[in-house]
Amino acid sequence: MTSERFEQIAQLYGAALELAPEERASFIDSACGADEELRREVESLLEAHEEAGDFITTPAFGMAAELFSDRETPSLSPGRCISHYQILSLLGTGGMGEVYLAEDTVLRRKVALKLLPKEFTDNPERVGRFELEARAASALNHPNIITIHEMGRAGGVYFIATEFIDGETLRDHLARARMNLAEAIEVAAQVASALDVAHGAGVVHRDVKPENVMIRRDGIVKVLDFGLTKLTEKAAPAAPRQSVSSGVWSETTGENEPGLVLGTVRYMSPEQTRGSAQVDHRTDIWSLGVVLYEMAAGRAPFQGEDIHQRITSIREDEPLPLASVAEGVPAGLEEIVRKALAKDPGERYQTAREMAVDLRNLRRRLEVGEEMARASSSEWAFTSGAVNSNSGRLLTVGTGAAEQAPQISDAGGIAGKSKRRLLITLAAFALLTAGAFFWVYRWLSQNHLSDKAAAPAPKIVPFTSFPGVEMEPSFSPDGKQIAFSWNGPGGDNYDIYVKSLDAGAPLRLTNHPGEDHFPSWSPDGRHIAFIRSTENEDAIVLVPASGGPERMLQSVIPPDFRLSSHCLSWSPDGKSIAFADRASPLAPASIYLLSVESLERRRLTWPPAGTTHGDGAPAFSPAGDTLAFTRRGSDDTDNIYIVPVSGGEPTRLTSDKAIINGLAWTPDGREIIFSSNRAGARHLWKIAASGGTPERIPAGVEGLNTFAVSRQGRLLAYAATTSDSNIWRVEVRGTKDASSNQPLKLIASTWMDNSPQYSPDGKKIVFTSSRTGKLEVWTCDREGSNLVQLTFFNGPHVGTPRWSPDGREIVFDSTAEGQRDVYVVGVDGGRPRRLTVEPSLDVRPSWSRDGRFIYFGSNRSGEWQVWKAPAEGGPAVQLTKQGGREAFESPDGRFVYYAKGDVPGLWRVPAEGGEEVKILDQVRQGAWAVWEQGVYFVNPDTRPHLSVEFYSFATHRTTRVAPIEKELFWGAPNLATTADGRAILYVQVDQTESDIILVENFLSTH
Amino acid sequence: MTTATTQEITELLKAWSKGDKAALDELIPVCYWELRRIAHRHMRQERTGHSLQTSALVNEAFLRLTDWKNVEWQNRAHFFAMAARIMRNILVDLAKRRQRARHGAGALRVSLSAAARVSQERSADLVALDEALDALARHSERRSRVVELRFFGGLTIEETAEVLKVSPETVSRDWNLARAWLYRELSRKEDG
Repeated sequence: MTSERFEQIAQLYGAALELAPEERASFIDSACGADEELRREVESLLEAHEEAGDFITTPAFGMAAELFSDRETPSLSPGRCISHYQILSLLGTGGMGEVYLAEDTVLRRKVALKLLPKEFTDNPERVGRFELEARAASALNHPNIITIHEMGRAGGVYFIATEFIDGETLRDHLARARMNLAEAIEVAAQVASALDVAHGAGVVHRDVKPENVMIRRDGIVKVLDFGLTKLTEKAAPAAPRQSVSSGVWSETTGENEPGLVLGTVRYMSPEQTRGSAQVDHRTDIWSLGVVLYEMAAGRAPFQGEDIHQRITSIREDEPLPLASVAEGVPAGLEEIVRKALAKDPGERYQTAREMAVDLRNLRRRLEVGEEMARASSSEWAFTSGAVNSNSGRLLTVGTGAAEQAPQISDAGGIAGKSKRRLLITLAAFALLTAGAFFWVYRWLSQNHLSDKAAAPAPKIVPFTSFPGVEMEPSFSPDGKQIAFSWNGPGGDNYDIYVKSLDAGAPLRLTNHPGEDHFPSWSPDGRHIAFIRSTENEDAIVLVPASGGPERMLQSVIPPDFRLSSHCLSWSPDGKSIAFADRASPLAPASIYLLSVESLERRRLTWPPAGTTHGDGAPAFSPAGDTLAFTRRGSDDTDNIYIVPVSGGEPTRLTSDKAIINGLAWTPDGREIIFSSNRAGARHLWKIAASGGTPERIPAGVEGLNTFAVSRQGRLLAYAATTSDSNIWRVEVRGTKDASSNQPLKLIASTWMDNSPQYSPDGKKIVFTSSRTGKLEVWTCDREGSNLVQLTFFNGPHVGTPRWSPDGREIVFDSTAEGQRDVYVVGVDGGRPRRLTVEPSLDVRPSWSRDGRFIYFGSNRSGEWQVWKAPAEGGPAVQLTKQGGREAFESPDGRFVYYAKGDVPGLWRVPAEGGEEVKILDQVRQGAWAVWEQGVYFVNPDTRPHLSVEFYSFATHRTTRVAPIEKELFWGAPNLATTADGRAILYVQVDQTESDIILVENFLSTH
Repeated sequence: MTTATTQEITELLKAWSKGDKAALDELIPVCYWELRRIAHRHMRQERTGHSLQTSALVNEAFLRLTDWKNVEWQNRAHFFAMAARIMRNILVDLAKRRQRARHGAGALRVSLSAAARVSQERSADLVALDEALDALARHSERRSRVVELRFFGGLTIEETAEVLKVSPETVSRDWNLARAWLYRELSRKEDG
């Protein structure tokens, strides 16, 4: 039906409706004439109108309640398959998912298959966090940690296949029978061992409780669900400042909200009750202490009528001594519990290993005491709780002598004698805590699982997990091997390695003191080209893929921006290599083609005049006729262009203000996959080679660095990189003798802690931290304690926090509303106020000493300059003329010192404006701090012996103040000092880890 | 997790209003929880004698969910339009899941009428209505939206007129036509 026809019908119907019912027939007769179809339409509509009654007159929300309250039955019945797992039976359900006993139909073994509730996996960020952590957990190889076989996705449902544990949870065990002390100590020791290994790998459990500990029939203890809390926890509480009522846990709401399961609070550490943000591995030690207490005493150490009382008890009460609630408790156990349950994490066991050692020693002493008692007395006293246990050989009452018994070195022999017989009745997987909202997940999963003929699901498989940094993967043409760059077991030098997808050790291809990067496999599979950087030059080098003599092809000057722009791309015919090069170190980069045979080079792109950075990241299309590349504009953002290989004008594909970190074509040559932060966090996107709107690829790629796509298009390999930067303090005794105290790691988490600045009175520190999983502004006192989270953006970039002179506000920059802008927030929290609104990038703010203005770097004039705006808001004025990006006013307010983003140096202009004067040569943006007597700075040219240097205004001389052990974090401001120059803060990268991860079927969408 | 943060939802709404279709997929579950919570609260109130204020519910849900002032809504109308669209998505999705869960056509009907006399033989379910609305949109986008705004968004004739920038009279005529048209389509479907 045409729309004209529809309108005709509508008109007639409308007109007829306005008539009295009895007049309608004749009206229709005359209006429709011989058009029978028209008549039928109108008449049927009028008829429907009469019959419709109150059809849809009650808005839909009226039925919402009914729909919302609908409860469903379990989602999977036996026999159904998820991926290659066939469901056998339901083991249990809980807030974190349904767990089934299933058979792996390929390997013919039983597994426990956990389906994750969809409400937890709907958010890709959260899934990404979870995957990263779960991957780390799956790499943990320890007898007391459950083995994860596979994580995957089928029909839109995430699942985890783990070893099936034939046993019962500690919760069930506790519910069934009182444990004897030896058994309790043994279980705790095994859990502590598991935690120790996990903590060593940077994995914090965060939810240690009896439900997450399983005891196998043979007595082996398994800890479950490492990393799963990443799915449930919010990156930060929604309410400003953490408080009991901020919705961190469900019980406070009184509603059946999904999330932390009822009862969990019992095992929370005091710091956890204040918000999930501030916890480190020591929270697990606390939780284990609670579990241990409960096992030994038969009751929880902290109790209360409701959640508030329980939390208060956790924070304030000392638990009753074990000896007062259980018999025969040795002093050693009392001491272990006391040390695990210290309110202050600093006074707790600092590592799970210490606790495990103490537990095992205690266990040995008790056994020795036991033997002695057995030998000396036929009267054998059991603890009351142990009487019914066949393991029987437990604690004597009053084991003072045993406590002093010598330790026995052969722990294995002793342990072997101790046959723990744990009465096990159920083969139940863990996670049986009831999640009131679980039903929702059921329909979601059922819905998805019933979708037939679903595309193969993305599946994540760790490919490398060596120590150090593995990155820049490149697939072999057959997709069966990956070449990558790795800084080796010693973490000291990058070389090229090749490893098969199947298994096996990596083959080291290069062994050169230069840094070898960006391997690229030739289309015939025989060679690998890569970039080698030595002190003197960078060069393209060719090496046989199976190892052998190298051949240097061409020396190059790689682009001066983003490392991934250096990469190489082979033409599909194998005759040439595309690369980025610069005519001189001052010129922008262009894309060139190098003939592998003749070594002739041909220039393919000419960045527009005035471009500072230019072109990089070349990628040949599968057909070989087109080349994609990125071009970095003067605003420091990248966009994708394509250009015919035969030459010609490039076509721009994207128009983003974003950083692109690598390109790849899909095998059909229709789309280009790229890594971009165009929507905040970095993700994979794809865009049609013919142009259009980029579309996000849903596959989780947490920590995405460099990536490659297999020629077959099914596999994605990417480097998942995490850095742990921490804030260190060094105290200066005197700048004259350049002496300093030992540096102290002051503010640390396993995440990024950056951009510190002292408050004007030197009593507090503001900094940014990603310890909640998202970068936010935090403050603490000068010793690093009393952490307070100030912002709750939950995702966007946040940087460069700086105090107002009165110490009451913090200015910082953030991409909270798209472009980087300057914001101000009170030190008591509250809603940040946006200061700059121009469509430019406005970065790295700081206050004038009188508090009236805020300086910041902005590219609003087309180039980076320092601007200043009234702190209360209002139009900004440009302060610098020859460039500038990061400014600080001198303590006396007379000058503005500033660094530029692109060239080293420190300049100053009078605060009222005027001509700039260069003060120092070696200063880099982010790595300087000005105070009354001079400037502290770190000169990266002194690598590998970095140090804090001091330039004195009085003497104009530079002296070394303090050596820096490792690399500074250069991605954000990394140096700060107090007003008196006595204390210096710097940001050091203490650890960088990068592993290569494979994603199968990564283009699948569900 | 409890409900998503306000910022999270605000970001999603912004992305969605800028044309990022994927953002809607992320919005649905977070809005879902809030709607469900409110629905339950109102159900309790209903039991104690309070009535269900439908459009108020939708508005409350979204005002609670979003950082209203921080989203650059084109206008108030834009907000209502988005709310109605989200509501439609959530409810239809729920109905679909319910349908599949029950494995049977007979039991899964959700009555679209309040009155029992027509609901028995002439009721249709939300899923069919959703499909019929799509069909209607192919003939007349505006009339389809009138239903979306009024039925899913709970808007009055006047509010709908404001959103669509037409007169209330037009909305009224559109509503009459769309309701008859949809009813006819659903009846046919049922008969067939």
